[in-house]
Amino acid sequence: MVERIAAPADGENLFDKYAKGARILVEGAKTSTGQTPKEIVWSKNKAKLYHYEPGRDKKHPVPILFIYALLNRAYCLDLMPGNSFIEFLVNEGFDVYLLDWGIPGPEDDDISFEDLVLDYMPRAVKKVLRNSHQEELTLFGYCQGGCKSLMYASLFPEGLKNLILLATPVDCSPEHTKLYGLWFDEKNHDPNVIVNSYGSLPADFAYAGTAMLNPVTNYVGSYMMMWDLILHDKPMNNWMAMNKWANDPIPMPGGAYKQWVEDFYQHNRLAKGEIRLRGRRVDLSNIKMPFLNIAGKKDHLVFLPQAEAAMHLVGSEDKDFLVLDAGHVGLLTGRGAKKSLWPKVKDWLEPRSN
Amino acid sequence: MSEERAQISPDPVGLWGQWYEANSKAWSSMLGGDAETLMDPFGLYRQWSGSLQEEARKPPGGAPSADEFWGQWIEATTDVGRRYAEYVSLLLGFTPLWAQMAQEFPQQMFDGGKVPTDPLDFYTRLYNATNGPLSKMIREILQNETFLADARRFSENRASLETVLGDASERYFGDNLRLSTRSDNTRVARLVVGLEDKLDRLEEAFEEFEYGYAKPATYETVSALEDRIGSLEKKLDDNRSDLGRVEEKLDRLFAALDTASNGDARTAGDAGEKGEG
Repeated sequence: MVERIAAPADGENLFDKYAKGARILVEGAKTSTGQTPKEIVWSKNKAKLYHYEPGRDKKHPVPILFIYALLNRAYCLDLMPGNSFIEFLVNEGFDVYLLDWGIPGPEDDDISFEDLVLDYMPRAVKKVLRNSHQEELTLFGYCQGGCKSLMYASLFPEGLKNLILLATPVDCSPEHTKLYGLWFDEKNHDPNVIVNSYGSLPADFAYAGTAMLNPVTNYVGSYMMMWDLILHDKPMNNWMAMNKWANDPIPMPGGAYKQWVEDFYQHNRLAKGEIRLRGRRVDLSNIKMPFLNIAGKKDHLVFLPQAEAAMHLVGSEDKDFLVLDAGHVGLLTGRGAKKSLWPKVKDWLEPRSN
Repeated sequence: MSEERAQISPDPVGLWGQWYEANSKAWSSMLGGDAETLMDPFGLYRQWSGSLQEEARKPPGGAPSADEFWGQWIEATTDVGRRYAEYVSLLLGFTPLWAQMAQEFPQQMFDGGKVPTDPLDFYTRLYNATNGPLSKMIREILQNETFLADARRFSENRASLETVLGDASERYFGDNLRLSTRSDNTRVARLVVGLEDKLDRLEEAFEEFEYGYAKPATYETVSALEDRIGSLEKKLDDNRSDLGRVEEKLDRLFAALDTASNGDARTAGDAGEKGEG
């Protein structure tokens, strides 16, 4: 429920506030995001490997490599100063890298998970290890990036010291995926129709697909909150950054989208151990490194059983499953994340990063 | 067309065909050229006419009979009716939620004893009154089988339209206007991406050298190799001088043998001369 908005008495001030709100509605939220200093260590096609605050002394030598999803912008991990997971880890003395897949163009329509896991990720891992002069790193996958991290870790376990997954859908059987699974069901959705017509999944479709899971909140509630913040002179930075990110989707390469729907959701091949990347079978029991799996109780995109399945499939002896009282994005950013996810990840990583 | 005066066809397609042919002939004779080589001013219409005529010429079995047509019509109408009924029943199922909203609405609106005058306050109250039940309703609709089937049909139709429009644009701008189109740009971009990929592989190969995976030749290994080659050369030189000495000895031996054999021959000659004498 949104707090009641009482219009301030000052007419001129009120006009300014209405104008501010109207501008955001028309132009969209505009604010600076992803401001933690970084340098590009390597790039390939649209993908870029960022190294955060390279000149800073690192307390923990084992670097962390973040692997993000293909559907949204990666700056969610470094939203804004004071509300950035990456900034927090850097301040805690970790050596942080991020593999940002970039925005695909029509020339990338055929990019598939094979390309990402077998071509891009091994190069990025090598680059991180060379750049940090280390022999092992921590692989940290968020959402769909978690699936890529799992596949990579099962095929190339050497060089990985730890594996962390955040809100990662592993078991996509229909009983776990609810509305999302219903939409992706074979009788309701054929990804070939999208891929053959558009080449890739258009950004608008990607946005609508996520927003329609909770339409009233996403399309109306979010803006009610905006008016509340404006009219009560509350700080808007966090809202602006989150709104900008939520309304800033990117297209997903057609090849990867087809696999995502068919292999992951319609046939649940990752959990069944049936994923093959250029003939190499992805067997999650090959993963033996320390493993932290984090999921959100209120996540309406990736439900708890979906994420929890990794605990039974991964072969690690040192493994923990962390359930937090947050949604898909709330896990990562905001007040709740600062109190729960960030310190918990730090506590888990510290003894395993030396 | 025969030279005889053609009968006027009652069929509009046939009529159009006759008109077209008469016009073509008139144009050809007026321009004084061969009809085969002249640019056809009615080509497009001829294609259209041809396809219509082809349709008209189809055997009666190809087109649906009146019964079949009626059956299809009934089926389509029934399907629309069924879907409509399903939607109505879905909406009727929301009655408790409508009731909840109706109950919540006045509570929110008249909370505090007066109706909100500020439009934003009004909308906030409206949102608070309707948010919960509306979310439930929309979720129900989004899970409904009929809605999902219609959504799939809609997305497929939209995708088909996108394909048709895309192809038409490509043909018009690319083939007719000779402008660079999206597919041309994509082709060039793919070449650039491929080239970049090759460079990346080269860079990787160099890095393999640099970082020791390929065990590159260092100064020490090259020096050691040079030393070994040097000692080999020295041994070869030694062997060559030994061979020289052996050769010298052999030369001396051959010379001695020659001398010895010449001496024997001279002795034998002297003895012969003495015997004859």
